[in-house]
Formats: sequence, structure tokens, C-alpha cells
Amino acid sequence: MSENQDRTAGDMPTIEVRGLCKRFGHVVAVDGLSFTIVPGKITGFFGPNGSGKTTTLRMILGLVRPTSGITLVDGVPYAQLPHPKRAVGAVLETSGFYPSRSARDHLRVLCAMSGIDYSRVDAVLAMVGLAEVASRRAGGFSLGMRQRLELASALLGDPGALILDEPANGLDPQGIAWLRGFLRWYASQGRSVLVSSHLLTEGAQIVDDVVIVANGRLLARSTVAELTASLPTYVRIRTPEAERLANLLASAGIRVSYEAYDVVLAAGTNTSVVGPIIASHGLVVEQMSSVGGTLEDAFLALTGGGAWPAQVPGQWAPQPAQPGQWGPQPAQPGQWGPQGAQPGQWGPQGAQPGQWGPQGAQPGQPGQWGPGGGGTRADSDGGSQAGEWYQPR
Amino acid sequence: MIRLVNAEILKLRTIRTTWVLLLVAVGLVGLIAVLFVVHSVDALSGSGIPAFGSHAWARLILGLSGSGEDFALLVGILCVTSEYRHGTITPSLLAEPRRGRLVAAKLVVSLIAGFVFAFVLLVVVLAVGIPISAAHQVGASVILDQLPKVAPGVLLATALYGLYGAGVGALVKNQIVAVASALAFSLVGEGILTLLAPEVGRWLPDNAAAALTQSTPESTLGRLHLLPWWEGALVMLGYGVVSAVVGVFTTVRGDVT
Ligand SMILES: Nc1ncnc2c1ncn2[C@@H]1O[C@H](COP(=O)(O)OP(=O)(O)OP(=O)(O)O)[C@@H](O)[C@H]1O
Ligand SMILES: [Mg+2]
Repeated sequence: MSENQDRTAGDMPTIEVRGLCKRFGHVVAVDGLSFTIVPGKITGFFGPNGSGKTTTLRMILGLVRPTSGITLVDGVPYAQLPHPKRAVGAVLETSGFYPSRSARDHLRVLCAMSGIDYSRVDAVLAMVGLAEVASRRAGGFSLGMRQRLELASALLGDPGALILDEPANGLDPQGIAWLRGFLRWYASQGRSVLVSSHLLTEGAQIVDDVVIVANGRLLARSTVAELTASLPTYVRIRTPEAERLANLLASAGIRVSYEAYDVVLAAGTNTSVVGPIIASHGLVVEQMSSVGGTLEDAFLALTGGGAWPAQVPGQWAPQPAQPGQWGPQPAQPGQWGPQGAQPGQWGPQGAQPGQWGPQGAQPGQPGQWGPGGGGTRADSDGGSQAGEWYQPR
Repeated sequence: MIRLVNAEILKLRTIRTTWVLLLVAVGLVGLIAVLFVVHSVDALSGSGIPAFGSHAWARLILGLSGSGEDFALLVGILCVTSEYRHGTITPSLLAEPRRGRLVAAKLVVSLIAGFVFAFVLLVVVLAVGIPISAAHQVGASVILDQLPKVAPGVLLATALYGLYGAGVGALVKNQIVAVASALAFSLVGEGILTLLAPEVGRWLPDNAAAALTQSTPESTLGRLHLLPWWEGALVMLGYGVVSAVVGVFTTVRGDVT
């Protein structure tokens, strides 16, 4: 990854948003947003529901007209690109298919419109694993198949940038694992990837940079490493000798508190500090884990407690006490792998962004939707459960 | 632009509705042609139907192919509105973000589609008319001789109807509303308006197209004095282009969310 960063140093921004505003009637969807996306990186575009992500992406793609401000792709507005499909590939949520048109014909039409050779059609269909259903009517496709077809149409022009709005929607675990590896590989070629998600757990594993918005306004624009470095980390220790441990830690200058009668929280430290203290005093410890410092923590710290769109009634209320439970309910299909059912369960490994995705580092053959690696993420921190998680404030 | 026109042709070719419409048009016109020819064999003079085997009779048979106008209108409307109905407008605009050009390509393709419909229907009336007439001792040449007089008008009028449909579609992107209002106007509204105000009526699409085909039976026209054919053509073109341009600056320009 360091190699990629070298390559992109000093590169022109591929996507640029300046002072972007959009109102729908009296709803302010996007409110003075400015950021740039540079090649060679995966940029996560995060925000709560209704925070203006989709609207922003659609403005970048020339589908929605900004109330004010501009969006540029490779230095020009999207509509002025000489070959839009070669500059940007986009996966959008509400994109449709003519029901009686086959998947292959759908892509052929787009090729014809963009002057792309028909030979690309079967190539991208194979890439996304739709080769066998290429002649079937797109109207009969399942949600995940539609999403793959969307992805195929984004890849038709072999574009220099990818813009993806909730791309994991409807994908099965294999598909998601493939997508992660693919996006990693795509960025490693010095291309730009901008991927939106309201699910932090979903995107946190693969992004290098983040743009975080709430209520249409920019909350943070930085690398994942910078964002999480500033966060306090905690160590949670379950022990029958809680009081003794608390005293020991306190005398070592560590701030402590109780989460339960047998659970001690040590603030602003990590297991490599707490571990030796425990060992040297021969304490009995049932469980120890570090907490905090993940992208999700950073996101919750930024958006939590009042940053939720208060003007939209009926949305999930902020639940500071249970940070692991925000976001769509587990019933929603197509979340990030089987673990998606319990967002917030993922532990402190997030402190090392970009190291998670199974094929993250070297996707090998990105042209295949292989089952390899799907859901094989090692989860060394099996201890914490949704809702049980201490929220750093 | 040629690229976009080719792509729009591919779009029309790869959806079922186009073929269903063509099939229905062929079936309908074929049936009417059979009924008309068979009936005209022993129609009495003075019944309003020209004598069997006469020039006027041959022109009437050929003119039946002009019934494709309403089908061309539908194809033109669908060419634009189905993109909105099925959400393909999003991928289409990603591939061609210049919306005016996209609509322009659709106008051209709808024009071509109308032409093709008229061509196919001309073949149908010939295929029906010639054999049946031959069975009643009227040679093929009687009908074929009139072809150069009728075909150009029918081809041009139907083609322009297609373009007019695309213009309506760009103006009213809701498919159901566009189809319903265009058909209601074409089949009912225009007739009533023409009856009430013939001087206005001759400028309406149906009568402007009739100026091209000259096929409307005299009896229903009554006092109506049709435009010269070239004026009719310009009026039809005007309806299509003006509504498309207005559409591009109003409905088509809107946000695609
Ligand atoms: N066409 C529209 N008409 C009216 N309001 C709209 C329209 N599109 C979006 N909005 C409003 O703009 C705001 C931002 O919506 P947007 O879809 O951009 O949010 P989002 O960040 O993509 O949310 P999610 O995570 O749920 O996808 C919302 O309040 C939404 O209701
Ligand atoms: Mg969205």
C-alpha cells in the first residue's frame, strides 16, 4: 500500500466538490460541501441516513443539478467529459433495467451510447459472475444480480474512477469479499474509488480515506489512520479481582472505571501496558480486550449525540449508551457478510485500517468472483456483544 | 450523434413493446385490408366506396397503411418515457450526460421507426390487396401504379408522427399520462376541435398529416380544407421539434433521483 501512496503523491484530484449545496423544496440535502478525491485510494463516504450522500454522488454525475457550487471530474463538469463512461463508472441505487431486455443487451446499449466495443460486454459480465445469465431478461434478476449488473455497467468503460453508492446492497458474502478485493486492486492501479455507505462496519475495512457527512455538512475529511489515532482507546478486563486490579492500575496512573462489578475499564491505554501489570501481580483474568480507536468509534464520536438529523422525525434516535446498535436493523438483507447481523461487534483491529479484507492486500485475480476468502475474517475479539460496548466520549 | 442514433435503434430493437406494437399494427391493418378489399368487390356504386379496380379504389387500399400513424405515435412516446418508467434514464444519462443530444437522437430514431412502420404496413396492404384483386380479375398493376402517389405521403406522415410522439414524450415524461393524453387527443379531441373550428382544425396533427396522405375520406372532412402537403409536413415537424425543445428545457432538465 505504501507503494500506491508514492504513486499518487501530488496527483491531480479526480473528483472535486466545491461549495456544493442542494435543496429539495425546503429540505436542505447538501449544505456547503467541499472535498477532493485523489487517485490510488479508496475513499469512504460515510454519513447517517439522509445525510446527503446519494444526492452528492448524483450531483457529481450530473444527474442532479446543484442549487449552488460545482462538481468536477478530471477537472471538468461531468457533462463536459469527452468520454464519461471511460472517466467514471458509477453504481447507483435507483438505476433501472428494461424488464424485457437481456443483461447482455442492456450493456450493449450502453456500449453503443459510449462508443465502447461490444467485446467488453462479455468481459465485464464474466468479471461480476453473470456470464451464465447474460441472455436472461434483466427484469427477472434478483437484487444481488441487479447490483452485479450495475457494477458490470460501471466497469464497461474501464474507467479511471469508480463511484459506488451502497455497492454491497444485496450482495452475498462472496460477492462482498470479491468487491472488497476488486476495489483494493482497482485503487492499487492508481485509480480513484469513492464508495458511500451508511454502514461503517461494511466499509471500514477497506477504505484509506474518509469523508464523513451529517445533515449535508462535512464533519471530517482525513485518512482513516489520522482519524482513529486521535481517539482514546480502552482496555476492558473481566476479573473476579476487580477492585484489586482497579487500585493497581490507578496507582500506575491509569484512569479506571467499572463497567460491571467484575469488569474494569482502563482508559487511554492498551493491552501491552495493562497485560504486564496483571501478570506481575498474578491476577486472575477471565477476559481482556481493547476497545475503541475504530473508524466506527470516530464516526459515532463525530455524529453521535445530536448530530443526527433531528428534523426528520421517526428516525433512529441517538443511543449513546449503545453505540453498537445504530444503523439498519439486522433483518436487512445484504449486509456485510454474516457478521453484518451484529454491527458494532467488531473489535479493536479496526485501529489498523486496510488490513482486514480477506484479499485486501493482494486480490490476486480480480477478474473472478471467487468464493475464496468470503467471510474468512479472523475475529480474535469474540468477546464483546452488540450494545455491550463502552462508548468513548 | 450517429453513435447515439444507433444506440437508440438498438434500444428499440431490444425491447418487446416495439415488436408487439409492430405486430398489432400488421395484424390490424392486414385485417382491415382484407375486409375492405373483399367488401369492395361487390359494393354498389353510390355506397361511398370507389368502384372496384378504379384508381381511387387502389389509392384507398394503399392508404390503409396510413393507420400506422397512431402506432408510430406510441413508439415515439415510449422511446422517451420508458426510460423514465423503468429507470434506465440513469444509465443513459451517465453514458450521455448532454440531455439535449439524447432527446435529439430519440427524435431522429422515432422518425426512422415511423418510417419503418409505414414501410412494413405498405408491404402488408400490397400483400393482401394484390392477390385478392387478382382473384377477381384485377391486375397487380392497378394497385402498383398508384403506389408512387400514395407511398411517399404515408411514409413521411407516419415518420413525422413518430417524431411528434417523441416530442410529446419529452414534454410529458410520465408514460401513462403521455400515452393516454396523446391518444385521446389524436382519436377524439382533434375530431371534435375540427368539427367546432375547421380553420383551427386543419393545423392539428391529424389533419396536417392528412394533408400529406390525402387519404381521409371526403365525406368525414366535410368543409375542411386541408393544408398543402409541404405545409402539413412542416406543421408536423414543428409539433415534434417544439414540444421536444420545450421538454428539454423543462421536464428533461429536471433532477434524476
Ligand atoms: N428527490 C428528492 N426530493 C425531495 N427530497 C429529497 C430527494 N432526494 C433526496 N431528498 C432528501 O435529501 C436528503 C438527503 O438524501 P440522500 O438520499 O442524499 O441521503 P443519503 O445520505 O444517501 O441517505 P442513505 O444513507 O439513507 O442512503 C434527505 O432528507 C432526503 O429526504
Ligand atoms: Mg443514499
